[in-house]
Parts: sequence; C-alpha cells; structure tokens
Amino acid sequence: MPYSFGPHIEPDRLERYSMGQLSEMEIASVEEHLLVCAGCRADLEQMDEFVAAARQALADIPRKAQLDLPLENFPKHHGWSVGKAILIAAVLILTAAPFSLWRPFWNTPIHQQVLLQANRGPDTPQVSPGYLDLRLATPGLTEPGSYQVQLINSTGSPLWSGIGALHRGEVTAAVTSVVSSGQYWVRLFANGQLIREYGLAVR
Amino acid sequence: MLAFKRSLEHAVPLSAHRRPQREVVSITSRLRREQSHDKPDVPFLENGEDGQSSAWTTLVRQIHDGDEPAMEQLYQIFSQGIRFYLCRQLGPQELDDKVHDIFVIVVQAIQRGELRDPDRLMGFVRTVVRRQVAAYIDEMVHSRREELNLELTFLPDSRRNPEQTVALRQKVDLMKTVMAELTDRDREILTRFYLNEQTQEEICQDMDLSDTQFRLLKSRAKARFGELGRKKLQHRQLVQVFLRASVRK
Repeated sequence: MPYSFGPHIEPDRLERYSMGQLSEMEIASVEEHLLVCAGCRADLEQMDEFVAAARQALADIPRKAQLDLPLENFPKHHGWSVGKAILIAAVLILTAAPFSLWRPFWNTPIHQQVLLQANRGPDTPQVSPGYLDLRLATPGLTEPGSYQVQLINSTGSPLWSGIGALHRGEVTAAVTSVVSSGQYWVRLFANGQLIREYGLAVR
Repeated sequence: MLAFKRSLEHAVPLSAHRRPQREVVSITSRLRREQSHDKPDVPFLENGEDGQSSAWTTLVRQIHDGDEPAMEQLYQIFSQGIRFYLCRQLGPQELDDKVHDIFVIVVQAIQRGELRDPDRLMGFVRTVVRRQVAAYIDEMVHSRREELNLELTFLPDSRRNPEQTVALRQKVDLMKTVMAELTDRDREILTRFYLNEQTQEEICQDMDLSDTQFRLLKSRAKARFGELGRKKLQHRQLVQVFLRASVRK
C-alpha cells in the first residue's frame, strides 16, 4: 500500500522539477515527497515523457521568424514602436557591414586536428569548438580494416558516429558536425565491440 | 530480515565488499515476502499532524532499539522511492545493491543516534541517498580514469533501448499533431518554455501574457496530448480485437 505524506506536488512544480528549474529548497521538499508517494512518482514519469516529447517535437518543427509574425503579436515595452526597433536594427547592420566584410570568416567554425592518446586523468586534450579531425592513438592495434568511432556528450548521448581508418598506429576520423563546448568521450569500436575510450574537452 | 540484521552488525555497506547479488536479493526479497504477513497497527499510517510527528519518532526509536518490524516498515515506506530516485540519477544497473547499501547506512546512522530530529526522517533519508549518488558517480569517474583494460570494463549504454526509442518517437509524433493545431504564437510560447527553457515570468513579460493564460495554454496542450494518446491506444486495441476475430474465423 503506498504511503503518502503531506500534500501532493502541484503539476506546475512537478513540471519545473522535471525540467530542472526548481531552487535547492524546492527540490528538497519535492524529492522528500517523491520518496514516499507512488502517485506523484507516476505523475513525474508522465511529466518526463511529455517534456521529452515536447522538446523533440518543438525542435523538429521549423520556427517562424519573428518578423513573419503579425505585428499585433509583437510585445510593446516602454512606448517603443516596432518601426523604431527596425530602424535601429538597420542602422546597426549598416554600421557592422564593413567590419564583417573585413573579417568574413569570423564566425565560421574552424577545422582542427586533435590527437587523443588515452583516457587517463585530467590530461584530456582541450580544443576549441568547431569541426574536429580525430586521430586516435591505438598502440597494439594492428588488424587492418575500418573501425567505428562515436562521439558521446557528458550525458551519455551519442552526438556523432562514423567510420575511422587505421593507419600507422592511429585511427583517423573526421567529425562532420560542429562540436560545441563541453566534455565529450570518443569511443572506438571494432566489429561492434568497444575497444578504446578517450576523453575530450572542448572549450 | 535476520540476514539484513546480520549485515548491519558487520557494519559495512555492500559497495565496500561487492557481496554476491543473490545474497542481496535474498535479504530484500525476504523483506518483501514478509509484507504479506499480518502486521500490528502502526499509528503513523493515519494522517494527522501530531500523529505524524510522534509516529516518526516511534519508528526511529524502534529502529534505534533494533526492532525488526520497524526496519521492515522503514523498507516498505522508502524502498520504492529510493529505487525510483537511484534509477533516475544513475540508471537501472545494480539497483538492488544500491538500495541495500542505503538502507544499511540509514539504519546504522539511526542506531548510532545520528538522527537528531526523528521528524526529519524523510529529509535524512533523502540526504543519505543524494550523498550515495554523489559517491557512486565519483567512483565511476575514477574507475573510468584508472581502468587500463577496456575490454574488461562494462560500459552500460545510456541510450534508450529500441522499444523506448520507438515509444518516444510515437509520442513525438503525437506531440507534433498537438503543436500543429496551435497558433504560431501559442507554439512560440511553448517553444520558449520547453526548448529555450525560459521561465514563466520571462515568457509572460515578453509575450504580454498573464500567468493564468500561460498555465491554460500548457494544460490545453497536455490534455490534447493525453487525448490523442488515449485515442491511439484505443485504436490499437480495436485493431488487435479485429485481428484476433479474423484469426478465429
């Protein structure tokens, strides 16, 4: 028989807990209740599913540009009109244009080659965000053939996978997605078996 | 229960010894089997503020005195919640061991008199669980750094299994149907909340909404999502009925 203690958790609070938006004090009271209330735990599981589905669905649906929205949808703050905002934006663009022409590749992601040797202690290589050409040191690995390479983020979700080629004691693979800042793991598979793992920090 | 009590006497959580899984299962399954036996009435099962606080005090005192039914009651109250929390934080691996470890720590702490306020037993259990989660994560990070032979290392796959992946995809498709029925403005509001993780206050200020309007929009979306899910489930059940009927023919 489930044991309940105190009032159940309100749906809004449960949703904010699911999304990690509660303060420490609020988290404490929610988690204490969840320890003893099966009903609220079931509600939280449903909430998690809803939030995950909403995030995925909203990420997949193309978002209409702000300027495409009818003007009545624009918020009005402190007496500013939409016309003034557009004028200021135009001035800024015209002012910034010469600078952007001078530095045309300012925001273009950079290509970097990074050598990963071993997942040992804090000495994981650090690189800047951008495209990565991975060189995975594989001492003792001599069997020719192709290997699978996977890039995992800090939550354990795979971000990219591809084929690597063994050459002179290294497996090389080019990550075709832009890698943003964070802590990552690079996994090397042979015939579906994990044979090496490397740490990588992107700052 | 006797084996569980013996484990307390040895005063070492399982994680230190890596006791065999079957022994852990026997301890906790014995507790679960004995749930079916008649239990004396426990006052704290009744609601009531004063009754609640004295009930926690009674439970803690009984555990402190080594009362086995009290330990079983503690297990009954908290085991599912602890398991839920651990699974959410660490995944489903070795849950029985971890639940057992936490119970050993909690009971030992109570018996050593470390719980100064018995009314805060829930908070105390939560604190122990969180510290154990931190310790497990720390252990995993260190073992990954120090492990020399990856072939012998078990690295659990944190991705969803294929069934979960399909289930999520179905829910996402339902959600897209819900979102397609909304206006662009309503969809923008939900995008800011669920995807951009803006707070309710920020969204209401930017989009000129009241709190009530914001909550209504979310509850409408959730209700529609639940309605579509139920329709889909009913349709699937109907299809199964027709399939069964056609097979019988």
